Amino acid sequence: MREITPRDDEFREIERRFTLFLNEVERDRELIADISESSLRLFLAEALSQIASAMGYILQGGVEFVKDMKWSAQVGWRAGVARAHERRLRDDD
Amino acid sequence: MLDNSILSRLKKAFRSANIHLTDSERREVDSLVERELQNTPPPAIAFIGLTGVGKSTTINALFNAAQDVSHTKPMTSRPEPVVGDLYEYTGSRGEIVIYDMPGLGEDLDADERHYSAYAEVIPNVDVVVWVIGMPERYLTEIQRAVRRLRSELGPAQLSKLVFAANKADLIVPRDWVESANIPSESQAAHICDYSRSVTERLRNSIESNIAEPVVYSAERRFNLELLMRTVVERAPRNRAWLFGEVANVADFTELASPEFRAWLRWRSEGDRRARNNP
Repeated sequence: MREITPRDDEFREIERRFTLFLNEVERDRELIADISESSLRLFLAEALSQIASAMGYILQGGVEFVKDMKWSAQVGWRAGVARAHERRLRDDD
Repeated sequence: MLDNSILSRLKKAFRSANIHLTDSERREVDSLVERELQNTPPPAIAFIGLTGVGKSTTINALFNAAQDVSHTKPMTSRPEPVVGDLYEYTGSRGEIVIYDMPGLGEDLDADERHYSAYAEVIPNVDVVVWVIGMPERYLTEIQRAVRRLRSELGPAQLSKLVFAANKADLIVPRDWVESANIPSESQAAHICDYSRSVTERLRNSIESNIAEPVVYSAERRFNLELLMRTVVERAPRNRAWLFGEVANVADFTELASPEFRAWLRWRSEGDRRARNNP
């Protein structure tokens, strides 16, 4: 184990590597949050679809809603579904 | 705990997509959603590894779990009526079911019992973390076990596996940079070599799509976020969020020296001043 202080020549290099690692840690934290949100949306969309179906209603667009999260988060379910549907049609073309 | 804004948005969306619903039907939907959430089993994870590889320290470092970590009496040696040792931890952010399972290679008869335990537990958990103590280079037992599990449980169960190599701080030349709490440059190079070597051997002997092991140090809190990210990625898609809810990963910067942290604070304040007064 080595103790390095700002007075040491190698400090700049250590600081650079520390910062790089810290950035990786931040990226991992963001990815965990992204995956969790995507997963929660999928879970809730599936749960709602099942509940709706059990009640005799059809809730369409759950999968598209989950896929197009960013847009949906801004403007809500309906627009998100519509937008995802448009994109899918464009991709098919 | 749960992101209520998402839940309320979904409820709202459900209502607007089904405007014909009566008030009582809407209330029924809301209560069904709540019940669905309450009835969801907590996340379940198994940790497999030999005594002393640091499973308990890893569990605490990932979930800040309120379970005593025994350094003198290995937790996995306690007799339990269930296969493996089952702990229902309450981490600082919620409930999680953890199987603390012994590793292979200490005793032939015990190994057979462990195999049976793995075969029983693995299908019932979301993720399996197989902890290797660095700088362990003998993977024969793991290769043999995973091959056998694949043939007994089917290849789909292997997608739950995360290989994790603990004690990165002890890799040669053991000159961990204490002040910044990161590996030295030569340790970092050895970590890469080790990871590459383990990956190649696991892929050659088991399956080509086995993920690279996460090299980390629970003691030094190094690379814990990468380990948690890998756990979340390996969890079933509709249950990964449960791990996100209970994750409470220990912060590695807290173990950097006070002088180094003071220097970083001073530097970031300097950067902020420079941005504000160009």
